[in-house]
Amino acid sequence: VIFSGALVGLASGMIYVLIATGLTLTYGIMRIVNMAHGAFFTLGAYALYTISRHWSASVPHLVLGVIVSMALVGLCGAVAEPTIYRRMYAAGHLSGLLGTFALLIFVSGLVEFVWGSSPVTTPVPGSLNHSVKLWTTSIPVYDLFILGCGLLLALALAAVLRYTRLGLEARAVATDRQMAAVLGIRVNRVFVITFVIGCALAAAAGALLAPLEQLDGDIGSSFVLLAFAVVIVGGPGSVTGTVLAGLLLGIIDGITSTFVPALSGYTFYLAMVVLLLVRPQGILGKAGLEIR
Amino acid sequence: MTDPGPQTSGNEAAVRPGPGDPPGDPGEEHARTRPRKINPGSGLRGRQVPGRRAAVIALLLALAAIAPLPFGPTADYVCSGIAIQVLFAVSVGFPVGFAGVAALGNQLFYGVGGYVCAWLVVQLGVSSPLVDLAAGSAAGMVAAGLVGILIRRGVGLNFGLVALGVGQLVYLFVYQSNYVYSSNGIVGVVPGSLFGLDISSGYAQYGFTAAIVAICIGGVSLIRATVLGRAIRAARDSRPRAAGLGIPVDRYYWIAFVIGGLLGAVAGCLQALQVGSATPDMLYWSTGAIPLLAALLGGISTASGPVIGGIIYGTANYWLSENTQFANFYLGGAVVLLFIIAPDGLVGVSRTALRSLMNRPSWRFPALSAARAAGPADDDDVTGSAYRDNRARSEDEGR
Repeated sequence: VIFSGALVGLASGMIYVLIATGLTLTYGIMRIVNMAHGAFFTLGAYALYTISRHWSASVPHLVLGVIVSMALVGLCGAVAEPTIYRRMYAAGHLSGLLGTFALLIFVSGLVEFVWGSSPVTTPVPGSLNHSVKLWTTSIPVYDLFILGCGLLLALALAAVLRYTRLGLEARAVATDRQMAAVLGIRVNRVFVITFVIGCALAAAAGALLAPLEQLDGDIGSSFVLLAFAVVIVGGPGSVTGTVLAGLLLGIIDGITSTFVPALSGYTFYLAMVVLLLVRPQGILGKAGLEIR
Repeated sequence: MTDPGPQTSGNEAAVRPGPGDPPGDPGEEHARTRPRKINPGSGLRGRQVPGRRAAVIALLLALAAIAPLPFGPTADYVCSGIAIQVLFAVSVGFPVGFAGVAALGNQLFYGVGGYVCAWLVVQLGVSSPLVDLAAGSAAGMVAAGLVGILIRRGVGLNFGLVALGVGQLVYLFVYQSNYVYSSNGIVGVVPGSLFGLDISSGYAQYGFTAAIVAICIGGVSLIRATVLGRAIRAARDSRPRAAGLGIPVDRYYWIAFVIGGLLGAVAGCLQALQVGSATPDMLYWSTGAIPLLAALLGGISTASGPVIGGIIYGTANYWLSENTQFANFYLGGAVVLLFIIAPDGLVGVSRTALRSLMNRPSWRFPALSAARAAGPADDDDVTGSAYRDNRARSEDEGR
């Protein structure tokens, strides 16, 4: 039973990981606390919903839909970064946080504008809409699908950051923006690209989650808070820490909600509060985020 | 944890509102870019300011008192709601802007205040609105004190996010479990009468709300001017320096957080009395982000900013939700635009404009520059705004 709880938790943890890695990436590199990450998550989910209305619900279509929504939302990010975000970098964490929160509100209004205010649902592809028996417990196949996709994307991100020139430049900018600029790294280009990657990851999370949840304009605001919890617990700016924290919180939540269903949802925040009281700088963080 | 980054030297003369200055007092204006000098002929500090300050306060109060009158019968209710928005914005503006504490979870105390107040009315039948208000506010303050102790270890944004996490925990508890009423909250709150006046509707309702809000704003202005306020400001401006001077920095952060919580709870009580219910929505995290946005819209590091921001945001929100279907869309878009154009908030912008106007030697307004030279009594070395420090710091980090 613990195992199945953990596995279910791992799947939801993977969603958190996907949203939160994008968030921690933008924080680490651009030093902005991006509340509007939830907006890109929402847009990703709605993009998949729109696509799914035109296609039959099958696995290749779903995968294609996820990729298309990642691309679309990445495009939004590519537009938003130079126009909106670049003005906010100098303004301090708190106003960055609130400016992006305003953007989140704007997008939730936009979603109502475009898709209406009543919640919508997306079907789960038939071939994934059942459970399999693993050892003694049954697990929804879709959870395993999310787990696989999430793992793939997280590994891809890690590989990009570690082995490509872009990753090298991004890490250089994260460490010392000015020095990186002096050394000839085009900082603004790195910003745009990492922001697009972050948005695409948020969109992937939204699109993968879309078949499981009812979507409405406000879904981003609840998920971005979860993602923040994950980022802070993992240590801001640390991608590995974020992955660990997301999976850990997901598993804790999954296990407790199997045993004490009444506690589902609480344990996530409870674990966050306890972990932060024990280790204020996060699992792999060096120092806390200062917004004072 | 200590403050990262050096303090910038440009802070000595940064714009600060004078302690105790009423919102909108032009006496707040003083030079930032050059050392403050007493202009010859302008008199000693503060000579002519107090009289004008009293006049401005009286004028603003009178304006507030007649605000709903020209707009017909429904305006009382609407203005009363806006007054609550203003108080809520002030309740986050104080800890965040003035004390530099990332009090992101203020909706918790707002909700606690509202729930306790509503519970008193509905369950215990306490019909005196002042008692309900006092009890609700006290409960919110106690909650803020406890949360403040709990999250003392977190600094900066961690502090705020733990506060948010605690708030979300309480929200889920209230929303999902049936221990604290249902997810519909407490309904049917009918405030009693105060001094024989029925304050559940009409102008009396607005008068009651506005009076309480005005008292709270006055109280905040007073606190800003006291030794306590200056200690809080010192703790905000430079944690290590203040600690070195023997100021118990953490305690002052806590006090500022609790004051913010108290004000939030008052706003929650007023809200519960006004709309006649307390709902779990009051505890949801974005409820607390809205007033923060309003405060920032006006200019969070000033005294008048949250008030003005609250008025503008509340009015715009009301008007947009009455006249359009997508208030969020327009409001969010407008705020984003404003952020891009004016990251200092509206008060910051008007101030900059006014300053650049006044600094032209040929066009100096005699009255204003006298007030500026007189200046508020705060030119010790703890001036500077958290907001600006922040900028300097993030530029440091961004290196």
